[in-house]
Amino acid sequence: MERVIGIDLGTTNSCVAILEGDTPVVIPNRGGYKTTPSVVAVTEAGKRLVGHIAKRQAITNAENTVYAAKRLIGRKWNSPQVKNAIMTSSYTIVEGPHADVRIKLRDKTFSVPEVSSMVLQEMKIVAEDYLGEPVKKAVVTVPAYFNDNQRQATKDAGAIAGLDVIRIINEPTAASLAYGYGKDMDRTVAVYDLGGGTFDVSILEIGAHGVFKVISTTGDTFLGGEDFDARIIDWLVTGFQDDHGIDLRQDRMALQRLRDAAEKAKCELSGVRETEINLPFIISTGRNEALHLQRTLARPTLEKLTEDLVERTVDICKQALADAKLDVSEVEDVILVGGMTRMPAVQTAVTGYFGREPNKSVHPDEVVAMGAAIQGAALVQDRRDMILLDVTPHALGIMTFGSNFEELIPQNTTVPTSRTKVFTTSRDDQTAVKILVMQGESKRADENELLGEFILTGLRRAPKGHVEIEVTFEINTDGIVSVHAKDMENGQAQSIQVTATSGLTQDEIKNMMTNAQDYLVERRVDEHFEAAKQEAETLIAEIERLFPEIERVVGSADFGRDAIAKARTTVERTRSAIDSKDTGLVKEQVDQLSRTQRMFKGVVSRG
Amino acid sequence: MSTNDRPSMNVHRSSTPPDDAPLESWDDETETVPGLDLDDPMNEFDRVTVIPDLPPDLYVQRVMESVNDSRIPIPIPGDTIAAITERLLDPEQYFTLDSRPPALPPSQGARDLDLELYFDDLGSPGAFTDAASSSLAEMKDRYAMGDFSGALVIAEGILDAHPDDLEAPRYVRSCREVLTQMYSARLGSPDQVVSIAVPADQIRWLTLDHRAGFLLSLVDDRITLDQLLDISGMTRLDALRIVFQLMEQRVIALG
Ligand SMILES: Nc1ncnc2c1ncn2[C@@H]1O[C@H](COP(=O)(O)OP(=O)(O)OP(=O)(O)O)[C@@H](O)[C@H]1O
Ligand SMILES: [Mg+2]
Repeated sequence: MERVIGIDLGTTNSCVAILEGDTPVVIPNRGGYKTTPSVVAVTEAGKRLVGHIAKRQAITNAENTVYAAKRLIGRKWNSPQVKNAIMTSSYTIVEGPHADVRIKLRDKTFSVPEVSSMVLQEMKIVAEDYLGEPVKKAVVTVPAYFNDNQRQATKDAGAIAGLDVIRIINEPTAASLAYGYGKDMDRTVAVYDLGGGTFDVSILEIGAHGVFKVISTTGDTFLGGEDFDARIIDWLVTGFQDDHGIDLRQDRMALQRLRDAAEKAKCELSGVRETEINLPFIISTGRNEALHLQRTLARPTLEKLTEDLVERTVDICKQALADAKLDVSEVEDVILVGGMTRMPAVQTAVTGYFGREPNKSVHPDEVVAMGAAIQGAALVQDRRDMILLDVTPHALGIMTFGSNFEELIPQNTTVPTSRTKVFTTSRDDQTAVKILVMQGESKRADENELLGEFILTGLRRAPKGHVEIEVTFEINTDGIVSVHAKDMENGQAQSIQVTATSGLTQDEIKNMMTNAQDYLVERRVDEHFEAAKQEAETLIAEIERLFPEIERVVGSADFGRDAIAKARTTVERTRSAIDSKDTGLVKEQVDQLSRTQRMFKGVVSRG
Repeated sequence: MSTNDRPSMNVHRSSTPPDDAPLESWDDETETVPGLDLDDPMNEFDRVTVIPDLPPDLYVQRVMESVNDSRIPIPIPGDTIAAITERLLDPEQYFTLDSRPPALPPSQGARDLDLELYFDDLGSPGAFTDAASSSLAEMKDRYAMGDFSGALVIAEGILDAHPDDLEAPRYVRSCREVLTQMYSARLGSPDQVVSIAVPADQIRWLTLDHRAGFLLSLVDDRITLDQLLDISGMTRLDALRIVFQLMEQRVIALG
């Protein structure tokens, strides 16, 4: 049976899981961590770094480190989110050929799906290392508010990474799925997700037969663990300034250490009441003198520093319930998602607001990936009972007179589905009508997203309101939307298929896939080369160590000189093979070298 | 020397039991690095050129190769390599020139070694009058003598003062290349895991600058040498130099 992995592609961290038998298991990466930072960087030497290693140089190499690419994925160049990111990001964001977004890293430009694909590729490798076999299929999660373009772009990122993304599911749905796994339930739950960079609250209805309905989703894409870290950094910087009159922010290395230490301290304080922050040699004052930073941070101090942030999440919870038109007492369970929910103050606030202890049966940073893995397995095993019914993430409709939005398919409608509505002309003698297909929840058309447009011509000349046009929206199982308009009198018809676009053409995606493949091959070749090179170098060192002795032993015998000359040639050949980076050649030389080394050793032991 | 001058090393050494085997092998090692006497207060570590464990002729050949690579026109009469080797590797000469450069005019250093004979395009260093050309000459002398760190410092100084100098960039590049190779050779395989060899509570008593402190903070008993260099936020050469220094001081261990 083909294995499907579940990937939680987070703003700050990603996580991969698989179903082992009946149990979802999170797969740790090579470093033993269950989550991998969604950070990609290119070093000065042009080497690509992904994950923890990239995060640890994020500040010292800020211009060439991409974090939070998820905030940009599937967005148009001129969207407010992109404008905002350009102002706040340390890396360079440029416009792509299709009004899409590209990121510049050293001398290359990457599309956002490409950057995300590097993270997905890493997760794929983590899974393959664990399973010992190639992985092809995946279920990837996205925030519930992602529109079709963002979903498509995430799918494209998977394709570039060599993954067939068989389904995209909502993060809160995945969390609820893991939470409801193996239980038959019918209840309303709140999913409180406080991650590294974003906060979301979703209200879901879990029904029988795998119906998970997201009733409302509210959030703040700029509220998360990093804001908590920033408060600790502020506190440390201010304290240091008071003590020594030095602003640590001026130094990137100091700032990198502060950030790493702040996050570490924050996480520790979820378990203990007090922790020591110890950063020796944080900054140099002059020649050969450096200052140390040493402070104790207590949990109550952290809580005071971040009180307002926690308060903000509670306000957003209120909003989510208002949107869902529910009273807080109607929520039957609260599921905590995101690493930040391990903070005791957060749990206290959640308990306080919802009036009940949150459910703690699942691991907050792993639950989303687990849900994705459960869904993946159910899809290939064709277990109907476990398969989520896809719902439309946003309402679909058309623009009508006065820039209004007329909804045809409401948000959260289970697909496949089809709806029809009749419209009329808005002007006298109108012979053509433009149908603008839109997605969103606003009553005003310009606040929603335009998916596509087409024109229906050849209408009968008549006073306004006299010609009737029937518009039909249809969504099939693959989520493809088609819109059909028909003049009810003369049967004239026109239709359009709306396909979400990530901002990349099929050709571009193919190209990027090849590049990603090439990178993997290169990386493997590199590993092989390094191994061969090392073996060769060890042998060379050994042989060179033996040269003087050999010379002494063989003296001036002709055969001895011959052997030494040959050995030297072998060593030189190996060096040039290493210089030319030819793995095959180096391997050949390794054989020669080990023969030489054996011979030398033999001579020395006898001599 | 007085203990107070370099507390780092003494703190560390005294904390190591005398019968500790690695310490001995370490002491052995330092002997293969001419001029690297950690207890010598006159020793400017950064200026010391590290010579890799290679047979002398190979070493010189490599140096020459890198010289050729950088296309600095230095004629090498075929039969003089052995002679140059001998002089270059004479620790006495080497150390004298390297550790106390100001005490000895560079031109004289060069003459001591008769290097003009081999590198005659350097011209007679004595002929330079203005500061710029004399530092140019010193740079070349040092380079020729194998003091690449020294040559690099001067070359960079020249570049700072005269950004459009034509020769200095070549020397900068070449010195950096050679030094990178040398440090890499000394440190060994890039896949070695780096670990901290000093108890956590003693680290603050070492004498380090913030850059060494930064590198140290990245060491987590899992990171490899290569990764450490990748994320150092410094040029590879600077990072190699500091890592090497930390290893020599036995603050970190590779393996
Ligand atoms: N034990 C802990 N105590 C407090 N905070 C923690 C703990 N463990 C992890 N965190 C924090 O959780 C955050 C990461 O959460 P998570 O891995 O869920 O993020 P994410 O899903 O990538 O983010 P997002 O939801 O924004 O996409 C980080 O800020 C991290 O410091
Ligand atoms: Mg998350």
